[in-house]
Amino acid sequence: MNENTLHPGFAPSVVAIVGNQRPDSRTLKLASGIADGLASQLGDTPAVVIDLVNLPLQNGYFSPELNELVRTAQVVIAASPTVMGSYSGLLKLFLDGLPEAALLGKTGIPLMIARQARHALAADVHLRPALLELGATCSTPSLVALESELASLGADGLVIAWLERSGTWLSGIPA
Amino acid sequence: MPDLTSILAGAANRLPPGAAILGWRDEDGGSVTATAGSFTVLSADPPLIAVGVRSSPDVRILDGIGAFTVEFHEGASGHFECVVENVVSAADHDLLIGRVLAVDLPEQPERRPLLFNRSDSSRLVGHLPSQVPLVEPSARSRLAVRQEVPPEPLATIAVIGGGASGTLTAVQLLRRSAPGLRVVLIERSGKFGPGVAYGTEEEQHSLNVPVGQMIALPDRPYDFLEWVRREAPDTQPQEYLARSTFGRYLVDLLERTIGEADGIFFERLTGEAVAVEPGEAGAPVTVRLKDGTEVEADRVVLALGNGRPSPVPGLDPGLVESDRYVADPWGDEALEPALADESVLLIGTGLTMVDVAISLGGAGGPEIQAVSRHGLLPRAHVDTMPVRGRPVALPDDRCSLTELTSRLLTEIAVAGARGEDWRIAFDSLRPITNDLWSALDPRDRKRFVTDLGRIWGVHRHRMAPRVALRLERLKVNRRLRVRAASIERAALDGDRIAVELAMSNADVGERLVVDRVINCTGPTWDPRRSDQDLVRDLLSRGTIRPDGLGIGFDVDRDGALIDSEADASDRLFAIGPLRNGVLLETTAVPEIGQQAELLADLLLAGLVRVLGSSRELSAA
Repeated sequence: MNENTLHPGFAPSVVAIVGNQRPDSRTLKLASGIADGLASQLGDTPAVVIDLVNLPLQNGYFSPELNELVRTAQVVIAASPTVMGSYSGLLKLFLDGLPEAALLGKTGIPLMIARQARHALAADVHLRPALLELGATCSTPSLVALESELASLGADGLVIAWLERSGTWLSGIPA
Repeated sequence: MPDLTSILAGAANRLPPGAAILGWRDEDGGSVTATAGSFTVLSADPPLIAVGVRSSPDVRILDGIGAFTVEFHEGASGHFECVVENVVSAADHDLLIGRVLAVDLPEQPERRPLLFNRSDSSRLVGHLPSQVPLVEPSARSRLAVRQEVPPEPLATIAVIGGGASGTLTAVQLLRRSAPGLRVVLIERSGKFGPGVAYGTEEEQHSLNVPVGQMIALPDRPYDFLEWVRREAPDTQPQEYLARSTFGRYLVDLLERTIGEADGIFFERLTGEAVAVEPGEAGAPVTVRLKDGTEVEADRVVLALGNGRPSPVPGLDPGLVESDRYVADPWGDEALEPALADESVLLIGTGLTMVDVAISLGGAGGPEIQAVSRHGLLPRAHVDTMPVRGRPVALPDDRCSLTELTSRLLTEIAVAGARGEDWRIAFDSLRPITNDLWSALDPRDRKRFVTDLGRIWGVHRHRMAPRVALRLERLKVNRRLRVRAASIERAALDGDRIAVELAMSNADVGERLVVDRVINCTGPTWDPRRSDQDLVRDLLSRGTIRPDGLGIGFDVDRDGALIDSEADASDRLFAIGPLRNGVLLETTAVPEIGQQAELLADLLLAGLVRVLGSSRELSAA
């Protein structure tokens, strides 16, 4: 084992990757909430949330050590705001840096904030295929936070609403 | 030989407000120098200097390293050898306050002092903390106002347990109390000071913290280093010494403090406390010893040290009852018989196992198998000075277990990509661990203990480098085998022991035949599982209750015992590992030293009407 890395014993079951250009974003809040909720339904290991904003790049990509965190996960949540009608370039950069079939056998969950109703399908049209391309199984509905829902429920309220439905999806997640 | 105070006063007279060159070793052992634009002698007693340096990551790293020199004369002589006392951030500069350990003054006072000059400074080579003989530290500060010593004690504090936590509590009471206090230190072994942890005679049993960070007295952080340097002047702050050295230091510290504590009545009492009777409110507490002795005290501190390991599931009762099973490797000569064995099984792979494997791993010792669910060994310290970075997380409103693990793991991944050490990110949390821990909600604390405790432990509680090396040698020579497995069943089989293992990573079992099974799962403090008469007595009276996680005694922020009615006691307190469920870090000397200081102040404040105010400690 490399002296400069952690023991492989830490294996988060749920990892969320957040690609929002702003720190402390609502995307981060939603992703952390749902990741934490799913993780506690799956066991005791806390989820790990990788907030990509401000993480340094190496040869144009994120640190390969971050990929290690994804490798052990059962569930990978890819979270982004809508940017130019699609998901963010920041998230794309992370996904591009993953090895081929990095998400094989894992459940991928797209999560996006849609400013306008016409962006509600961006998660299904753009983000879901990217996760499928990496080998993920996307057996749950995409999590789309409409601006109107965020305004009425708040981020916490929306997470709770999602988690109330999550029992059904979790039954589809391979152990 | 003039003392340090007068040398320093003389030096201050010769110094214009001028420049200085700082020198220290970085974490890779390379030399680093920095120019200080201002330099002044801050205080002669205690000997403190201050230098102003431009803020840089180097200075923050220096804060963690501890030792540096200040060169104030041109040429390679004339310098102070210092340890960092404090770093104060002042706009774009940091004010570095150093405690002077040694002074090297040039022979000719006419030699030109260093004045700030950019072009000149480049050719100067800073001194490195080195072999400069240590000047005898100034004598401990005396009472500011000598009070009359009463003929009889005015109040009594009993400390149960004379190991590290009990001894440090007694030391702080002796240092801080006004005359008239009686301190009774009760220890069943009759050895006052080292306790089990630092009583090991084995030279191979190393401290897991470098000498510069073994801070027993928070107001004198380098007391241990200075004490070691009296015998071994070359000792560096980053060295790992034998645990017995710290044990001897504790004995000496207690002796010294008793000698200096005028007007305090100090008693050592050898015997096992078996009951504590709180009695009516306002009346004294009675501590009863096994031999019938009774001590009446106004306050009682439980300093019971580490608990015994928990029982291991899967062991046949016949084996557990036999002498082939060692329930507690720290018991007196518990490991003696195993030295003659052919093979032994150690249950647990943490620091306790490491100590036991090293004790048994000498020439002619048994073949050692070690198992735990994860099969993870503690990580090793790196053989350089420790570095402290900016904390990766703070105990704010976002402090959840998910947030903390995410921040820590992301930071470590990024550090790894930069070729930096994960230990820096990990250790950045050390000073605030207990704050983070108390900011977590109870559900997160429980999740941490069930799931992350082990993985946290192996990274956080590391082995000294030479211990790691020895362990590696045992593994390479096939004397030690470590596996991830749990014990399905272990029972006596003829004159040996048959063990069935369930491997953690595979759906298969394995059979072993060994001569002895040793419980190395490490200390715990669930009072319900204790076999100590005293703990049973306290539990049956409802004086104590387990904490929410069942790994220690329930206490409040000050260490006051919380009883079965959820009320915090005003007379009974706990220190050290007993506080384990309420604090995450409470077993290492720096934390216990801090607790002892705070607890002593709290106890003395409670007795102020009887004793008068505490003595001033001018060596702040």
